[in-house]
Amino acid sequence: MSRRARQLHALVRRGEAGIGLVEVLVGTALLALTLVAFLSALSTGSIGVRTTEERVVAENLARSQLEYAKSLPFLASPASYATVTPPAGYGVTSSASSIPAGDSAVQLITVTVSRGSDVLLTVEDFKVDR
Amino acid sequence: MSSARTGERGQVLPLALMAFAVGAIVVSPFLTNVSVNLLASRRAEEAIADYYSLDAGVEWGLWRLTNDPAITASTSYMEVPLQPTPPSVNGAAFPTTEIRFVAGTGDSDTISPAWQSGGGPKCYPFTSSSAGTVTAVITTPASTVRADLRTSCSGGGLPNLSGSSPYTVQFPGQAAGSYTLVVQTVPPDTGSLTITYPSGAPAYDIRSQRNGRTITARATASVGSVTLLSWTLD
Repeated sequence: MSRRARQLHALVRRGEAGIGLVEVLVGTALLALTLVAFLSALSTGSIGVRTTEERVVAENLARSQLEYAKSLPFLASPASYATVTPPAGYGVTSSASSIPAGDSAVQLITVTVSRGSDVLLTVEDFKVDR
Repeated sequence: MSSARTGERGQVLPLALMAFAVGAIVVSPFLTNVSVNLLASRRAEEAIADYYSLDAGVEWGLWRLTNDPAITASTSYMEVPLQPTPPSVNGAAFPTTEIRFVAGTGDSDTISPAWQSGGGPKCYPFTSSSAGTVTAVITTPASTVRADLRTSCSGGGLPNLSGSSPYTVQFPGQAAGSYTLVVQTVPPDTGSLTITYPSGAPAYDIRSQRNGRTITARATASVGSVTLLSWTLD
């Protein structure tokens, strides 16, 4: 190998070494970024799934409770109607109050579904003494 | 030495790009799915509020019927008989709620039993197949007329009718069943009698509308109670 060739080879090897380091750094950064984004997406998704699950449970619980309260004998306002048994961790209340424009034969039923201290859903309906 | 370096080159970058690609392929649909589910559950929540608001409108109409079984004779939907309605329910304006009379319902029968002459209370039995108002029209030249609606033929304590012949007396809020109209004229005199009683409960359609959805219910009404016949959600 001539002197000139040896010089060129050394130059290329120096260049290769530099490109490899940058590749590693960029690759590592991309990998880290991807992992962080992936985990963040999983976390967000997990929260979303839990929220959806809570909503679905709350909606069904509120619907069940309202239908149950409407099937029970009429109680004079203010009153609380018996409740269905909620799933573990959930709570449900069913209260009856008078309606200003009505009389004692019609009442507002308010069903509230909660989980812990969080109120998930409140639904209102009327009930008539008939 | 040179091939080892060549091997190092591109190991991490393709791996990172692959992870990035897999993440994009897997995570995007996952997040989209979560997002769609969240939106769907929110829409379901709104639908529940709408549904029970509409039901509240129907209940309001039923309550008005329990107070006034003859709330309207119009066969076209109208809001006026049900107003004033509550201002809101489920955090939104009260649904548009209307009512109409169902043509051909709420009939009545009229009988003209033979006049019973002679002294003392006279009994005129009949059977009403529906709840409502019983009306008697008594035509007689007698100076004093007494009459009452009873469940049996008993003549004690009959109230005097005011006015003059023909005497019209109404007995509102009677349940379906067998009755006896007891009539006494003083002094005993001639006369004629017609009795009108309900033979079919009036029926009404109650329509409640909100956010493009409608509940239509049909109910029969009598004093103090209503019976729901049908219920449709559109």
